Amino acid sequence: MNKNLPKIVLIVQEFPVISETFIVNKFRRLNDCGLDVHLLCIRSNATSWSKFPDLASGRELRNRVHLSWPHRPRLLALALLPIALLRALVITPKTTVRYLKRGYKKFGMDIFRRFYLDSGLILLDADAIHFEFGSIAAGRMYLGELLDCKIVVSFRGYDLNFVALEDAHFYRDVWEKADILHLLGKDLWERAKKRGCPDFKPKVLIPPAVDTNLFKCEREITAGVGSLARPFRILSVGRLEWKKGYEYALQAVELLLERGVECEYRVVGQGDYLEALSFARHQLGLDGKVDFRGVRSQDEIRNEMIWADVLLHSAISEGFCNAVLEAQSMSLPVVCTDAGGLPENIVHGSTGFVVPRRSAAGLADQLELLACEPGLRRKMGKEGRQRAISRFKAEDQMAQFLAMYERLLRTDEHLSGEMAESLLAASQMK
Amino acid sequence: MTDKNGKSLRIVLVGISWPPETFIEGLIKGLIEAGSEVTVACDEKPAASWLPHPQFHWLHAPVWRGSMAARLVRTARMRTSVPSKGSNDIRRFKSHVRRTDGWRERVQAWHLLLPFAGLRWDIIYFPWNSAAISYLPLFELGSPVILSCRGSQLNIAPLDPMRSGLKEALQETFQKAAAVHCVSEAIMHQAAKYGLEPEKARVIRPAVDPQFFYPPADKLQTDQFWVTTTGTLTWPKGHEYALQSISNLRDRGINVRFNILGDGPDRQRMLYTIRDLNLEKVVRLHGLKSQEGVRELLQKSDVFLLSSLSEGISNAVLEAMACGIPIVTTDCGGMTEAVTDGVEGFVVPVRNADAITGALKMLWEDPQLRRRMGKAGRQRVEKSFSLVQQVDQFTSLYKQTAQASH
Repeated sequence: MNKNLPKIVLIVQEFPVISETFIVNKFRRLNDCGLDVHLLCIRSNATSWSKFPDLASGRELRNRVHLSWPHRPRLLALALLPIALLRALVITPKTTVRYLKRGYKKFGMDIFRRFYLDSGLILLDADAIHFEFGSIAAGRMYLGELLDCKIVVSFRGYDLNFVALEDAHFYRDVWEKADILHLLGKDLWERAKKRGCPDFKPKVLIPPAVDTNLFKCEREITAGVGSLARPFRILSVGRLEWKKGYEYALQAVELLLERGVECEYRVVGQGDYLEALSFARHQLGLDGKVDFRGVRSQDEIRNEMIWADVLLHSAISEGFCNAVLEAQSMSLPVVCTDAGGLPENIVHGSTGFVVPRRSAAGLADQLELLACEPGLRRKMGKEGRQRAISRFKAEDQMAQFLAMYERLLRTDEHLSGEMAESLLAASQMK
Repeated sequence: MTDKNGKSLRIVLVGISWPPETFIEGLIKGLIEAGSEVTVACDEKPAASWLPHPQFHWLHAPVWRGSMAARLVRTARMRTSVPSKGSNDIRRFKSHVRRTDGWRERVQAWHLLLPFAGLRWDIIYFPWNSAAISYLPLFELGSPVILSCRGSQLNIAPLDPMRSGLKEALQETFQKAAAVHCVSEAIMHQAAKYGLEPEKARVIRPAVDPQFFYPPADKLQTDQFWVTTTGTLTWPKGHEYALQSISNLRDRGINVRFNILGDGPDRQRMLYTIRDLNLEKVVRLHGLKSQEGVRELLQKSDVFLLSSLSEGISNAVLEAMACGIPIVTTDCGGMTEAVTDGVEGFVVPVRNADAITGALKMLWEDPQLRRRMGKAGRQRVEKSFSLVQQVDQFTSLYKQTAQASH
């Protein structure tokens, strides 16, 4: 590894998480690019590691994942504080002393509590830290000053759409002090501005990526679907939450059946809303037509996408939606709502259809159109595939991230010209 | 209330928390007034205003919580304080506990059952299906058991694939119960699907106190259209459909205000949807309100809206009717047993914001209609949903059940 490369720490709540596979991928790809990347999480459990066998078996990568020490119960945290202090003073004396000195001026004795929570980060002595979700960044911008490092904050949807809606100043320190913001798309940027982010704030818009080599298939388009012999196959992929608007999807399926389009609807994912959805399925007379299939692995999801004629995404609130990207990459036409970044994700009329959110009839109309026209399904599938390749390739996303880190660290006086060059070289190599 | 020997009936309520829901509190008061002895089995000690009453008793039934050590000690202490005449009960419970897996679960089962060992009542009453299911061994004590079917525990929970075994458990409780109270005809039919025999079922609809909930003397005339709903912020209430219809009304130029009383897990969902539909100036989330606060808002309102996807029968609607305001309700559960479409208000299909919009618009345009329907609602509550009647029906249910088991 090139010693000159800056050290970047990604911060997440929990790692690895199956529904946040994009974090795993990003972490892995940055590492593949030769970057000195680390990941710090607060929670981690063995069962989720087993879902990512190659990640778990790769020693190099696994050593780069760091788990914070427990902060509950408090008594344990208090007992561990001296050990954490000693450890930090031995491993990174300069950074630790600076953190405590500057921190004491700012927070007084409270700095020891913060020190304990931040000690994992202090040990890593990073050049840049990247909060992968806005919600965990709020209130922690002092780290830039105390650790003398740059800060990136990603906003992915939930953080802007839901977190602390009633608190007008929740993200104030992020807007003021983060060095650069990363957002998935224009919609989230607009939402950030609505929540007080100034227009001139440095930002990059980098959409999620899809592995177009993994998500691909030779799709055979069946004509004459929508009969009992061959029902129209509708698929949704996403956690079972009210935000995904599955009730409107179910109502759309009910409408299709009423209009004589025989269909079969599968939903991949699990969540608390299963009870509500099972009730809706029964109330709408859809028992036997709708299958809640629970959590599926990436391979199984690919198979479901091969099975399907259309991907339906009925969300009421959405960041960008990886499943919709994957569907396009799999040459699967998409019917989705206009929630969040979805209109940026697909191209209405080309790779699928965008309809207003909370409109079962709107969804049903477009589904019916696709059910009746195999030629349209083929065309939209093809255009989806092209779009995924031209706009959402993983390699391109990595180059954008590397360019962002380069831009972030370029102005840093600690970063020599040599370092900047090697980082640039790494980004161009990809 | 006394049995044929002139002794007062002893009833125990199991599976409640204290303070109880308003309708349970009303029932307890009514039963005591009618001469019964009521024991409440719960963790929290009832307020001092209740305890001195000679016909009111509290049985401490602790909740399974605290550190594991504390739970073990508590269980052991309860075991030692079982009276000697409780040894038969202990044997009965033991055969039940043996069937549970895992030592923690066994201790938990003992923890649940021990407070009842060696005690007897004329009636064991479970106000919820879920309580009856978790206290199944109490059915073996020899006292007749009555349980209540109220709503979501029959309409929703059994459909949840994550709750396997619930259907069988419901069946078992219905089979072993001496009588089953249903809050509406609709709930009774639902219970029949899980094996409730019609002879055991008794429909007693909820009640309101028409002396407490009453129409305002004169209503302030404003240019605003006040729509109100009360209920937990949770998905079975279908609030999202209500918000869409309010948004529709606003888009049609109606100066509407929507009051939502209640709190719950879906608060964030509500906040999001209100913002998403640009309803910040139109909708107000009041949170939890006292009974007086509810009454005050109802009296100020033009219409009460119930957008539920599932109900047993809504008490909130009855309270609104008592306050003399017209109702727009979805057609779910037993709602049509309280509201006749076109008489006390309008009944619209579930999950249909447009239908709600249409009904509200009709009421907005016609103040005369609002008055007429409000009046009809008040009359219907006085006639069919009064508290006095309800307590009478319950006392006779208890009495008959106790007598039949002798």
